[in-house]
Amino acid sequence: MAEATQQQKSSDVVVDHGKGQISDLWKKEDYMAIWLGFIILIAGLFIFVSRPPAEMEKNFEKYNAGMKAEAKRAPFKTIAWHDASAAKRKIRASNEGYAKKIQGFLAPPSKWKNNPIDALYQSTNAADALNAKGKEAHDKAKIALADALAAAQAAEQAAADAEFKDNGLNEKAQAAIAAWLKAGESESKAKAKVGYKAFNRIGDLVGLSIILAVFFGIGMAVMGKPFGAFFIGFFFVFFMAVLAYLAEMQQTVSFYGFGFPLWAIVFGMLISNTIGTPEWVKPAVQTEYYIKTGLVLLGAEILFGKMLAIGIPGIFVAWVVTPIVLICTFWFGQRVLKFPSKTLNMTISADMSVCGVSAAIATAAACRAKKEELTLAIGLSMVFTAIMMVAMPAFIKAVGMNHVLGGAWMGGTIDATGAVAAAGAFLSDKALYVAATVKMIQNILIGVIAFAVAVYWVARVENIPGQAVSWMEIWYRFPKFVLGFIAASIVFSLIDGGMGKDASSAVLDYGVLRGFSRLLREWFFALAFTSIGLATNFRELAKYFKGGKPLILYVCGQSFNLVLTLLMAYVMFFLVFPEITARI
Amino acid sequence: MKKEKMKIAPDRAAARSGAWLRLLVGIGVVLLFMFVAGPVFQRLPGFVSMSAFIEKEGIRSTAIYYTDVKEFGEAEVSLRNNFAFFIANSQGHGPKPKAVVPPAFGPN
Repeated sequence: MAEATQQQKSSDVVVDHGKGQISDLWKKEDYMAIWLGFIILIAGLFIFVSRPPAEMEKNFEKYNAGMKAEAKRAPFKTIAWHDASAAKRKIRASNEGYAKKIQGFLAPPSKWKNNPIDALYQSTNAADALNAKGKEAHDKAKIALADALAAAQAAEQAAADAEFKDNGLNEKAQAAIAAWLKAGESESKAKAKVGYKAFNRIGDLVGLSIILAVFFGIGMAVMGKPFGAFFIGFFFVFFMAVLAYLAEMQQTVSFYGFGFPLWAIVFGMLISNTIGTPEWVKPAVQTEYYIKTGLVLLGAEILFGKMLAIGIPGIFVAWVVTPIVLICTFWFGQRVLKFPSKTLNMTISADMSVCGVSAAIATAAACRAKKEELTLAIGLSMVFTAIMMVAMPAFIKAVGMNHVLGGAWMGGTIDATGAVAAAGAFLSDKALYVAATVKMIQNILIGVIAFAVAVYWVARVENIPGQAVSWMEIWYRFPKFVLGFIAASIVFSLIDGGMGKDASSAVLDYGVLRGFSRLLREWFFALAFTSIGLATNFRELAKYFKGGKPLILYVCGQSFNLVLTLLMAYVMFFLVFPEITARI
Repeated sequence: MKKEKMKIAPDRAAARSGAWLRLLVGIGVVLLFMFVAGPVFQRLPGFVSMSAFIEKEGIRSTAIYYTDVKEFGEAEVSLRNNFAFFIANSQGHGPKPKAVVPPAFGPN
C-alpha cells in the first residue's frame, strides 16, 4: 500500500529521467539556442573588434592625460576636463559608418504620433519640414551655448588667476561650467531636432525578416523539424512583432512604458482568442526557441565589471537588498498567501525585485513557468512601473530628499530599466547617474538569479520531498540554455576586463552589444512574446488572477522593497560611505 | 444529413463573423487607449510634466535592459571619469574640493 502511494506521488512530480545523448547537442532546443546565440556573438566580435575606431588607443591616452592634468591643476572639473571627457565619449565603434548601416538595418520602427506610417517611411519633404520646425530653437540654443561658454571661460580664468585658492571664485567657476554643460545638453537636443533625414524602413524589415526566417529555420531543420512550414509561418509572427514595436513607438504608449513585450502579447492574444491562430502560422510559434536564443544574447550584456561603477554602496543597494526581497517575497507567497503556483510566485517575485521584464523572462525560463504566468507577471510590472515612474520623483521632490539617495532608491525599486532613466533624469543629472548605475548593477544580477533559480528548481522544487537527488539527475533536468546564458556572460566579462575600460566601452559595449546583439535580442524577445500571445487562451490567463493573489504579492513585495532599499541606500550613501556621496 | 450540413454552414459563418467582430472590437480598444484614454491620463497632475519631459528628452522609457538606454551609458562613463580622473587626482593639489556630505533631506 505504502509502495503504491509512493508510486502515485512519483507520477505527480515532474521527474525527467532523461538520458543524455550526443545528438542532444543539435536536436534539443536548449543547445540550439546556445549555438545560435554564440554564432551571433562571434559574428559581432568579428565585425566590431576587428574594426575599432581609428587611433582609438592613442586618442584615449591623449584625453586621459588631459583629464589627469586638469584634475591636478584645478580643484574642480575645468572646461578642458569636460571637453576631454566628451571627446572620449565620442570614440565608439557604433559611430563608425559600417556600424551605423548595421544599426539602421536592425533598428525597430521609429517614433510616431498620429500616423503609424511615419514610423516606417519619411519623405525628404517631411524631413525638411521637421528640420525647418526645429531650426529656430536650434539657432537660439547655439547662441545660448556660445554665451554660456564665454561666461564659463571668464569665470574659470578668474579662478585660475587667483591660482584656484579663492573658494568664492572657484565656486563661481563651477556654477558657470555647470550652466555651460546644461546649455550644451540643450543644444545637443535641439540639434537632434534639425537632423531628420528621409528614410524607408520597409525594405530593411523585409530583408531582416528573410534573414531571421532562414537563420531560425536552419536551426529548426537541424533539430529535425520541417524548414518550409516554419519559414512560411515565420513571416506572420515577424509581422505581428513589427506591429508590437509600432505600438510601443506611439508617443502616448511610449510615455507609459508599455513596451513591445506587452503589445506583442496583446496583439497575439487578440488573434488567437478571436479568429484563431492560423494553422500555417503554428509551426513558427516557437516561444521557447526565440526566448532562449534571446537570453543567450542577453547573457553577453551581463558584464560583471560594471558592478564596480559606483563602488561598494551601489553593490550593497543592488546586490544585497534585491536577493533579500526576492527570497522574502517568494516565501511570503508560499507560506502566507499559499500561492498555488510556485513558478508564478517566483516569476512575480523576480520581476518585482530585480528589473521587470528582463528578469521575468530569464527567471520564467529558468523555472519553466507557463506562458500565462510570464504574461501576468509582465503585465503587473508594467502597470506599477508607469505609476512609480511618476510618483517616486514627485515624492522625492516633495520631501526634499537628496538626489543621490532618491536616485539610489528609484534605481533599486522601479522595475523597468527605461523608466528608471526617465524618473532619474526628471529629477537631476545626479539622480540619473546614481539611479542608472544602481539599476545597471541590478540588471547584472539577472545572470546569478537565473542560475540560482534553475538549480533550486531542479534540485528542490521538482523533486519528491525527502528524496535525495543525484548530481547526474540535476544535470539531466537542468535547463541547458542557462549554461549558454552564463557562459556568454563569463566570456564577455573576461573580454571586457581584458580590453581595459575605455577600449571595452568603445568596442564591446558601444559596438558588439549596443550596436549589434542587443538589437537582435530585442527582435527575438518580440518574436517570443508574439508567440506567447498567439498560443495563449484568455480564459487560462484569467484563471491565474483568481483571488487577486498576484496583485497582493506584488504590492506587499514592492512595499517591502521600497522600505528596505531606502534604508540600505541611506545607510550606505550617508552613514558608511559619505565620501563617495560627496564626490558624485 | 444534407439538412444538418446546411445548418452547420450558417452557424460556422456566424461564428466566423462574430470572431472578426471581436477582433475589431479588440483593435478598437487598443486605438481608444492610444488616442483617447492615454492622452487624457497624461494630462493628470504629475503625469503631464513627466510626459512632456520624456518627449523633450527623447528617453526610451519602455526599455527593458541597461544596454537599451543611452542615458545609462552616459551615466556610467561620467561616473567612471569622475572617479578615475577627478577624485583620485585632485587630492592634495590646491585647495581640496568640498567633501561635505549634503543632508539626506534638504535642498539639492
